[in-house]
Amino acid sequence: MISKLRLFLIENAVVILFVLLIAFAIPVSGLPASFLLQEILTRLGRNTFLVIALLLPIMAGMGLNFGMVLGAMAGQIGLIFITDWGVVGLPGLLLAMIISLPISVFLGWLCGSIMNLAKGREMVTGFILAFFMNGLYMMVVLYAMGSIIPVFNPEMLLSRGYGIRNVVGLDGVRQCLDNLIPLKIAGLNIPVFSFLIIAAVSWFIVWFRKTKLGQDMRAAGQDRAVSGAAGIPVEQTRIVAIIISTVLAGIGQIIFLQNLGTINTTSSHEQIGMFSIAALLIGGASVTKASIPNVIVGVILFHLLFLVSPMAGKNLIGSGMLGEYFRQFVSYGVIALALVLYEWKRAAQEHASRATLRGGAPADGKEAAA
Amino acid sequence: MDSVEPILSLRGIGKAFYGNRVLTDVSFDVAPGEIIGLVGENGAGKSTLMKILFAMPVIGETGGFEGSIVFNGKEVKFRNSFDALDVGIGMVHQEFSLIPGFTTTENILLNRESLHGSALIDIFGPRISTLDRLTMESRAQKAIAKLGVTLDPKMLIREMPVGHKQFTEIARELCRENVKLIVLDEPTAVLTESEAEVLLATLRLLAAEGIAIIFISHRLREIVELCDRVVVLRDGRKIEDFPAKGTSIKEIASLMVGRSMEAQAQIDAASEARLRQDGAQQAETILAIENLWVDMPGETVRNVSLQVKQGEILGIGGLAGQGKLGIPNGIMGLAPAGGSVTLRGKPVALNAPRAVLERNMAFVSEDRRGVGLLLDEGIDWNIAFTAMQVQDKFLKPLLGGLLQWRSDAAMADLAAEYIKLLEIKCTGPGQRAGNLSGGNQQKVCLAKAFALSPDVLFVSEPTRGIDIGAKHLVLDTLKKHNREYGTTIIMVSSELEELRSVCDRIAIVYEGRIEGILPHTARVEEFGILMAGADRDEPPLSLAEGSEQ
Amino acid sequence: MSSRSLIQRSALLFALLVLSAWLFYIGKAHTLLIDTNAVTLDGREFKSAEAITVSVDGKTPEDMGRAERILVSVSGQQHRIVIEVVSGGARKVEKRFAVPTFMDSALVSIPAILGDAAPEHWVTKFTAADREDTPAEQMQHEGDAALPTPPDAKSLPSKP
Repeated sequence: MISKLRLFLIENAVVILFVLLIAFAIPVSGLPASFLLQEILTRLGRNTFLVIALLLPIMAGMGLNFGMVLGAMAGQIGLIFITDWGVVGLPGLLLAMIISLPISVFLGWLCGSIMNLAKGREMVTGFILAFFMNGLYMMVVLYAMGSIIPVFNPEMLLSRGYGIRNVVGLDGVRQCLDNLIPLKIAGLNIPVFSFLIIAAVSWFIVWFRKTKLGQDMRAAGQDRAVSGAAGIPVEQTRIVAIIISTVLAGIGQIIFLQNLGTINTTSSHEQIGMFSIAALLIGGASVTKASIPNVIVGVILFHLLFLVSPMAGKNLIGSGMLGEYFRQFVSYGVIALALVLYEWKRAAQEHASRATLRGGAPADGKEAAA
Repeated sequence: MDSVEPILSLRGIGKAFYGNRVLTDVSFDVAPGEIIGLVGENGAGKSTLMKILFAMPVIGETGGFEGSIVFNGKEVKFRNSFDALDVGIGMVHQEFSLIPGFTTTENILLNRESLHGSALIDIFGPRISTLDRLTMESRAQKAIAKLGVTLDPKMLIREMPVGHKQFTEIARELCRENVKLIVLDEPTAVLTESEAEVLLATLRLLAAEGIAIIFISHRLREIVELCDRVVVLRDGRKIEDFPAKGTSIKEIASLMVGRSMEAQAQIDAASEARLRQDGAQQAETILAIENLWVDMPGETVRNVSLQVKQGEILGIGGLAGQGKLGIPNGIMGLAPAGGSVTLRGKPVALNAPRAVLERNMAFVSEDRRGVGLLLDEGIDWNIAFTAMQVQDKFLKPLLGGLLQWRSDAAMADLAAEYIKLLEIKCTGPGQRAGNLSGGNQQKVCLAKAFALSPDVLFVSEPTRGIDIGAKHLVLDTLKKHNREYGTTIIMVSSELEELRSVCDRIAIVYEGRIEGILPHTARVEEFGILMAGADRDEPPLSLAEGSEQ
Repeated sequence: MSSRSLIQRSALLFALLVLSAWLFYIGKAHTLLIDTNAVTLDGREFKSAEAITVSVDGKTPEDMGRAERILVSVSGQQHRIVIEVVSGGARKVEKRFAVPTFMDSALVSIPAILGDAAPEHWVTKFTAADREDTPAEQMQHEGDAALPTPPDAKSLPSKP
């Protein structure tokens, strides 16, 4: 029994650590529960979709998709266009999503193809690719738009006449999803429609796992050689996983920005990969295994920590900046932790599988648990 | 005899890899429902022959092959393995081709799952359909039923015992509708004795249904028991092709090796007897092991105490999982260990592989691919590596000792010497170690240990997975080294006959402790009693050739 | 790719394009300038009433005087305007009008509506320099230096 408890603690170490941290920080921060609850509801509606976009590449064995930033860029381009054209409300959002679709598919195909060239190192490849694409995105947004790509609304341009402004207001679509089906319980605003969308995409993921494509992805994710030998088109399957992830990231970024109400043209997409991945990992996911409960728990814990750390820091040591430092520290730290744990587990697994070689089948005939 | 049209006919198969001829004019037929045992030493061409049959890419990339294959009455030219599979040939490999996180059913039907129809197929392609798990399970059950064993269709592969994994693989081949021939490559190597029996029974069932089987194995006892006919390959040629009835293991072995085993054994016995008389008085203890414990998963050592005499060959035997493999791994620092080990009176640091190597102790591990070799490096590298690291051999000092430069010439010479001495079959000292056959890899590992000129040499499962001819060579080399250089050898092995033919004394490990030490002349039953635990009332286990228990 | 799948995929693509066009159509935002200034059409002068309330697309009614102009943000083409005359002779006028999709800012003339002028005079394109011009003229120049009203006009609620 003790070993079972120990196993549970090790498996869920990250989640437990964060729960303890937050349990400590909430009272220290002095923030009222109603405020926290409202914020969490809002942030769940805003961020969950983006984190769900990370699930399929993990299933396909490609690790944490740092390349989701490419999808975010596509989503932003969609939003810039509809803001320029003056399309508002739900139709505006839908149109932005439709516009982002071909861009996301193309970028996802590109990202997946490049990742296929770097098997076993997909994560760092996606990371660097995101930087590279950032450069291309800047070129499009700061140079091509307004000059080659027609922009109709001069208000959106920089003073020099081309290039999109640093901050683009999204008043036309601000919070339109959240308020589509307004619901107020006990003084809390609940973004029902956003939650419905999240439920829909979650259902999509669950359904997708049951399809042949999903099955092939799971197989390719566990063992490329065996899958290839069975005739599964491994390379194609991996690319499809990244394409779907990128498309979902694009839609997720649109949902995210509509809630915030403004696009920061040059930086809104940058941190989104890091934060989404960190949230997923805090929720108990690993580089090889992630599910929807991980997403939801992760978003809640991650954002709770964000909310309480400035005040907690201020009350503890007199510095509100602690919150900001802490946020960066937590995001990068938890990703580093997950990557280290992953490597350590892999090494332990290899060691264990070699151990069975040494003794032949152990007495009860079962192999050492991986 | 040939009243039935053979299902497979290999005619004049030949293959050369860049001038290195591996197969010459191999021809034989397989009738439907017949079980052919394919035997031969490593390097005799068995795997190459199967690679040709399955149109593995390496064959096409190196110039194709000579001869023709006739399957089911028609000459066939396979472009890739899928062509062979489509036509009805299935292959069960030695390394399991299974997805660990999938269930039995999912693995059996991998990439051939039953699907529900879907309106989305036209737009997104056929892979968008959902899996029809009910149909899948019934298909899997049908295949499992054909095997005559019980498999849980919902169990995850990684939780399965090894034997069941093997059956899952076979079930997968059976699930193809038109399977007519199945090739099994060393299927019993990882099975326990009872699991192997079940497998053989299953194969008989399948043969009775008309499925032809090619059974490749080193376990000659199984070949004799199971097969209808035996095909012996040696040095790339088919030597003999005869019915299994009426033949014996000795006969097959001698055909494989090309020498009369009996004559050889007599010579050996005589020379051994002489030598043992000479060195009858062994002197002091060179290595004293006291209260050793080792935490090696599957081979835990609890409390072992041994005194190893200078210049002897000490054998350590015992059943699998009892701890014999833990002893060398613990002492050489590859697994966490504790207790006290003294070499020539001075204590040896435990959990410190380098320290042990510096004390001139060497280890040939049972895990040659994982621990013993640098698979991506050439033979010369592998042989010289440890000596270079620990004893600074093959290094030329430059700039008055500031820099140490590797002497590739010296390494190549050393490699050539051992290649000759141990008859390592390779294309040259630079050949990548990962490409050698199992037996030759073992020889490289031995050479690496010898290059250190150790005082004490641990050898763990020296002949596991290698054929008879290589076996003898390896054992002879060990004996020779012991005679000529006085190296104390501690040999761990699960094959008792091997231990008895080489060692002076044999210690038997049971449940992590030394159960007893016997001279090599003791009777087999005495060893059996120790292996089973001296207190028990069980009859001693049978230790017939090829058994691993 | 089979022809059936080709047809289906093309149909899907087409449907997406049609959907996009439709979304654009119903989602395009316009800034309506509700204007009660007197206008002259075909020689006739139309005037508004002393005090009215105006409600566009069911939004909260706004009070307007005789010569005022207020901003309303709407989306889509079809709109409904309800004018309630409060002063002298209360009456309620409800009319529907369309704003062309590509017209960003439109001037809606209350006197024209109240006076039952021809519908094409109700809504005209608004350009900044147009303040004193007859709104009967339509100007379709793109890239004109028209100063569009800032999108974040806080004067009116934009949420339904």
